[in-house]
Amino acid sequence: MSVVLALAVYALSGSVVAADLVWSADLEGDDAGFSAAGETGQWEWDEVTTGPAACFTGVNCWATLPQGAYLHEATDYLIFPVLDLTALAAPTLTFSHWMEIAPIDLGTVEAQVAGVWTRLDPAYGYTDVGGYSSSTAGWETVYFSLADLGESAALRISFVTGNTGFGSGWYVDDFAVYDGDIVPPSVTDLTELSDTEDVDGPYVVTATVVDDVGLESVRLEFAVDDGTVVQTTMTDLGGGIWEGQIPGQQSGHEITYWVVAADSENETVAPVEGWTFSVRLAPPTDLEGPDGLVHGPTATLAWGAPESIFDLEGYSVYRDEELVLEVTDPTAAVPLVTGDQSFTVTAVYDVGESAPTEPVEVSAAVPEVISVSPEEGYQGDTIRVEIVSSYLLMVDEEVALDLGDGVTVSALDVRDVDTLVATLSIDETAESSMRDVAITAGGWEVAFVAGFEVLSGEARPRIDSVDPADLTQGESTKLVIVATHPFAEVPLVSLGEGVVIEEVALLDDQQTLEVDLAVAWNAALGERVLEVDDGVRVLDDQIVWVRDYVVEVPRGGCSTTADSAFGGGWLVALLIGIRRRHTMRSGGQDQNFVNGSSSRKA
Amino acid sequence: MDRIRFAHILGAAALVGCIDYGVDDTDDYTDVPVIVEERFVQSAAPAVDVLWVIDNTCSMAEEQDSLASAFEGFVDAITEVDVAWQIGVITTDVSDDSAGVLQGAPWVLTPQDASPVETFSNTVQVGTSGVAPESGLGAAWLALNAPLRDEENRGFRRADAGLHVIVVSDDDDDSSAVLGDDPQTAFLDFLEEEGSEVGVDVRLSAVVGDDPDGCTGARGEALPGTVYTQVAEASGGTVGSICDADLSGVLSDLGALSLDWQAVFTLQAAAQEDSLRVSLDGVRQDTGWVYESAPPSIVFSEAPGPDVEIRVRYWLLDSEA
Repeated sequence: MSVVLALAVYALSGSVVAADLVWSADLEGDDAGFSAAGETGQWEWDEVTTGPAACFTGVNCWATLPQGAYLHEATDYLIFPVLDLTALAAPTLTFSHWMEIAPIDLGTVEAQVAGVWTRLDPAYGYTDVGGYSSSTAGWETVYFSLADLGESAALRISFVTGNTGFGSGWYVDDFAVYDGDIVPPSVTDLTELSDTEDVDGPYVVTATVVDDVGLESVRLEFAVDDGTVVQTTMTDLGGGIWEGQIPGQQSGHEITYWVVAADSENETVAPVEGWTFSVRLAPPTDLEGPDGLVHGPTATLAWGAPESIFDLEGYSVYRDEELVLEVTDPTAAVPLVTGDQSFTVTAVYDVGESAPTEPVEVSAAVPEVISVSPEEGYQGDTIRVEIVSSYLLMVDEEVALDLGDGVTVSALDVRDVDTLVATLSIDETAESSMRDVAITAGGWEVAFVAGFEVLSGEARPRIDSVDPADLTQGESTKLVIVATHPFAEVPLVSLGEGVVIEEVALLDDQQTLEVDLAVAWNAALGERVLEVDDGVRVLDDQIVWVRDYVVEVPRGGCSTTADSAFGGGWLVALLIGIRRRHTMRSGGQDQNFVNGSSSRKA
Repeated sequence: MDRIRFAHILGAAALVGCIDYGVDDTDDYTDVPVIVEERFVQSAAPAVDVLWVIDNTCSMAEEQDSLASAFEGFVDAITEVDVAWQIGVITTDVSDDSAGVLQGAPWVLTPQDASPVETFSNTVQVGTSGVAPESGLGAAWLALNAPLRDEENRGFRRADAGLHVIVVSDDDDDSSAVLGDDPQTAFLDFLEEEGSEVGVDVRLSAVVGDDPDGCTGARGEALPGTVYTQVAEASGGTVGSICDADLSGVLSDLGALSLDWQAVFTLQAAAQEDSLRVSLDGVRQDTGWVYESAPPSIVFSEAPGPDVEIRVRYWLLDSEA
């Protein structure tokens, strides 16, 4: 916004008007007694939709052909109603205008003095030697002194056009006559400060400030980062030139400043919204990053070293405004996160940090571990852990897993590119501690820090009891297994080759299993490791014996009587035989066994 | 058979007076069978890779939108069971270096994706700037073979997973630039080799213009997808019409077809073959299956349907000499 516009807008909206209103015409209800005259009569009172798009206020104003372009090679007038200036000490005419005409066209205000139309000059002059010309920067308010026109003033607006040019013409609105000083000071040629590295200051501002009556004060005001407004007095250098100073500011701040000039009645703020400059150290230049999607944990950024009066110490790299890296070279492998992100780089000087570069956008697919479940296991455990990753693109038999000393990875099953199921055997003596879960896959080495904890084996889930603990060849029976902890789901049970697990039932306490099984006649004799696998943990700390079909007689307690050593054994054997003949099984175990050991569905 | 175990018991007791655990297992035969009944519930094969081949020529914008909106049915079908599925999307364009390269991010969609329908919907809209001729078979071949299989598309094709290639196009295949003079035969040979090497089912399905006359639907006209149709029929896939107003039914069918169901159920022990009784959901089946001894298993000529309960009752083989 130019100084001129700032002055004009403020003068209408912010002046302290101590003068008396004598006459006004907002032109909304009627044409206020104005009339068109001249060669073409192109002045019209109407609504405005072209040119400035709207009147200064309201919907009606006077304009040269308000619905289109003005006419060439014509002299036309807008005649004021006769103004009564009787007993006015300092009558002043004001109105607002918008103009878009050729440089050779001219607009003026004229008054009839002694029967002759004479040009009136506005306060602070026309924009051109001969009058108003060319274009205004929006609607502007102007002032004309009527002090020398007597008690009755005949006024007109004169519009003289040449034979070239094209535009919307001249629009005028909101006429008024005051008695007194309504003309605010004029502020022009204000110094426009540029961004600077200078943190010492001061930042010197000059402006041309004049008033039609006389200035009372001229101030330079500023605010740092839209904070508290600071007022400083400007110094008169003579010739209408005033100088003010803003003290030095720290790097990284924005300073907005403006001039406030006042006479005895009115005040001007220019520019109305202030001008802004930054105190900032020179940032790096030409930041560049990779194009397209980056598949990896890092991307290389490069930038140019800044030119500065200060000593450069290094650079800070920000990802989405968060500091992620500090380097000394103008290139860096920056850490990525999956998705879109914005990088900027600042230069770090001995006096402070620069403003950031223009951002570089990077899209990334970062190989990483998302979760480990379960997150802990016990000393002595055999446990399955599901590891979910993203963009690691795991391939079966091309994955390695490491959880540190004492944790053996006994099996790895890649379910899909994102999911790995690992069977871990934790030594009884493994240190109880948090472990990093380190995966190597697809050329990446990714660690999930503190992703798994080895707990003391004292609380490890176990099989508490098995009943019966002895099985007999040819027997069909029900095994009752009680665990110390609830099972995650109905487990698979295995006793090895020759023992067919028909059905496993998990009772309501979630810790007790009833297992229907049958033992083959040729099942190998001896101890079997009972394996109970609920998908998460394999419990294998109990032994079950497979005995021969023969009748058990307690060692050392044998009797030679028919009842105990012969007759009793006979009876038991007979009962077993009867049971065998009548054993029919219903139900079975929903599982696949290969070579006597259970294998879970993948 | 006379050599029953009771005689051994009596004999041994008479000789030694008492019997302890751990004696040698010398009793080889018995006439008392051990009868067991194993129960299985039909489940899908554990893994399937689904490769969508999307026509990305200029006439396909509406079809891609429709496919994206209908994908939920496909996802529902394959997530209904516990299957490690993977989905990838490529285009029919083989004119540049991106031919056969999986599209989107992630480019391998897995059950770990929190919103697979949304991800697929975004991925399947591959644009309409593709270059003709549409080369669905050639693009699929490139995607599933080296070097892409081991590089850009690494991890998508798993050695132990079934494979279902699904082509969506409003034109027929012309993959001579990739597969030579007879793309159809070349691709079928590839599918056969892919399946036989690892013993998994591989097939191609097609959502294309009706053969032989093409079709017209709300989204426009489609030329007959004759080559795609023939490959689908020869490989055990299915064919849907791209002119269908609503593709959700077609996609649900494709989802179900992507799953392979078990036809082999391995027993825990060797069975006396003539003792075997097999039932499906309680109904005895005397035909439609055979017993194989190594490993002992029931092999169905046609896989039982989803969630069917299979019961196998048998005598353990050692029960009788």
